[in-house]
Amino acid sequence: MKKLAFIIPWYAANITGGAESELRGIVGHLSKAGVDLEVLTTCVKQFNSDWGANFYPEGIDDVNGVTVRRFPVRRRDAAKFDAINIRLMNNQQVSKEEEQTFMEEFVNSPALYKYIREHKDDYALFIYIPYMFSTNYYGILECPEKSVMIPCFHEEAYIHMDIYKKAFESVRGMIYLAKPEHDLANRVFDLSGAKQAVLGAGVDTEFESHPEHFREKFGIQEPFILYAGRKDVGKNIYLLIQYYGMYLKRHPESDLKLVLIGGGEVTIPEHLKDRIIDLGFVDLQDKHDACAAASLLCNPSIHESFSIVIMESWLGERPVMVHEDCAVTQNFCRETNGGLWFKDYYEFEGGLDYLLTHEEIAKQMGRNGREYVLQNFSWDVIVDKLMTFFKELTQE
Amino acid sequence: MEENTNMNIDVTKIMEEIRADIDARGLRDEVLSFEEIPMPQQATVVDSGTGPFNNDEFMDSNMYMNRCFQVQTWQPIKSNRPLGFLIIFFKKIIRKLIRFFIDPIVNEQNDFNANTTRSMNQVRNYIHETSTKNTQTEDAVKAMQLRMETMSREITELNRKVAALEEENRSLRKDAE
Repeated sequence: MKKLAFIIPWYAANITGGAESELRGIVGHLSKAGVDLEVLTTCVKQFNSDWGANFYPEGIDDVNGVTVRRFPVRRRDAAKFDAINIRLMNNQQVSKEEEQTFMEEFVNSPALYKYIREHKDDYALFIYIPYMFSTNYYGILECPEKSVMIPCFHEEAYIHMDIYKKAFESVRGMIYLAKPEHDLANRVFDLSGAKQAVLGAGVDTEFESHPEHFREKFGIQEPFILYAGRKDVGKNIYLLIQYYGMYLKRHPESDLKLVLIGGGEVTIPEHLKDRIIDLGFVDLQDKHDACAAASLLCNPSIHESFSIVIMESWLGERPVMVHEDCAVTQNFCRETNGGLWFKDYYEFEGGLDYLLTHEEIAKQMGRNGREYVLQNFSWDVIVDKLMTFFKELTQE
Repeated sequence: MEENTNMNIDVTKIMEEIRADIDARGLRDEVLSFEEIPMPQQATVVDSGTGPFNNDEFMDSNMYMNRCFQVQTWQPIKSNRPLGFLIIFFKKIIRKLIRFFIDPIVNEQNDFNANTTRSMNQVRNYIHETSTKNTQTEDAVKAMQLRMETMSREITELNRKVAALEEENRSLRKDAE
């Protein structure tokens, strides 16, 4: 098989972000497995930087042993883009002309598109992640017959833009992180011409957890709910704080705590400051230990494409609680029998009480989840699934 | 994707039990008050895309914009952590060091906010003017409708009188013949 090209708007060793981290993992593990590949990207630094500014020099770079080709971006009209984007962020519809403007004033690299057009015969496949960026849109249009997407779709205004249909309905393959994503994609687009597969995302499973280390290091001996992730309104952190506060009010005898790990700022109500422990960023081993020490992990977000944290909780053999309105995380709980979900405070309270009073069942849920993650999302498994998918596609 | 083979636990059944218990205890009839556990004042935009114009909501938002359009670069720095005084000290140094970068951004944002607020104030004035004109127009239309009704009654009365006169005229002509 000829070499594979992975396309993403920005790429570096230390960029945060779900799709960015996932691609680093994919190319790193495929490369270690001997697969010939390159990353095609722009000279833009990262998501929260100027998309019209070339931070990295143009040309070939090496990032952790992976060949990266960087292409310059062209100047853009950020004001025009922002005016349309703010409406999309508020789930408002935009016109076809505005969709076109949005795509033209996004992050664009004509040099990248020219490279794809002129070198399509050098590559077996072009794999794009995630769906939204115009580098992916225009790149796919240069060579749809060799295009594969790892779209990371979720329900938001952007996915319903008509302009995407032209590109996405012409690709050769689609790889999804979870079944609800597959269902959403097929509701919105006509993908009858594409090979589709739900493969999941790679998760690091080569570690051991030591719950007692966590308890000793941070001085937390009481049972606790763990929240791991960015503390952001969009992730529903304040819903969790409210529900936890109400739980304590209705259960004054409880010694349950709420432990938060991850970046971002959160305002904790004064009377809960001794019960909610915000540890901020902790190192990776501490996170693994925290997952194993917790009574459960709660992910209340309703906008998840995959949720690495619930996988990490399962690897620590602890159950999870998720929001009913997140089809992805709820589906994983059902498939694994590894967690419960809630749609309002009463179900949150009921689920929490159940897990706290049925310890053997909670442990079994955790073990169920761990088995599921090892069978489906360890990097060895993901690399095999990806290569099988790519080989089948190139042989068809 | 491979399904988990351990079927001793069925989370769907567990959720059904939890929901049944909630219903049996009538928990949803209780009124929960979350006032003691406040959410921070994060603005949210909820737009269904349809529905009538709500002047009260518009005026509330407009007043908020006029009060709060100016973003402050200075925010209090607090820490309840152990060695919090050290954390505060270093955060204050960092705040001083990055001011050269933050202040221009905040100034630009404030310029945008001020222009947006001025635009919305003009929209508010336009709505008020249009609303006043609409009221005046509605009043005028009502007055015209009233006048038309009156004239319609007068025409009906006149038609009645004309018919009576024509009848009298025919009768007189017949007598004359």
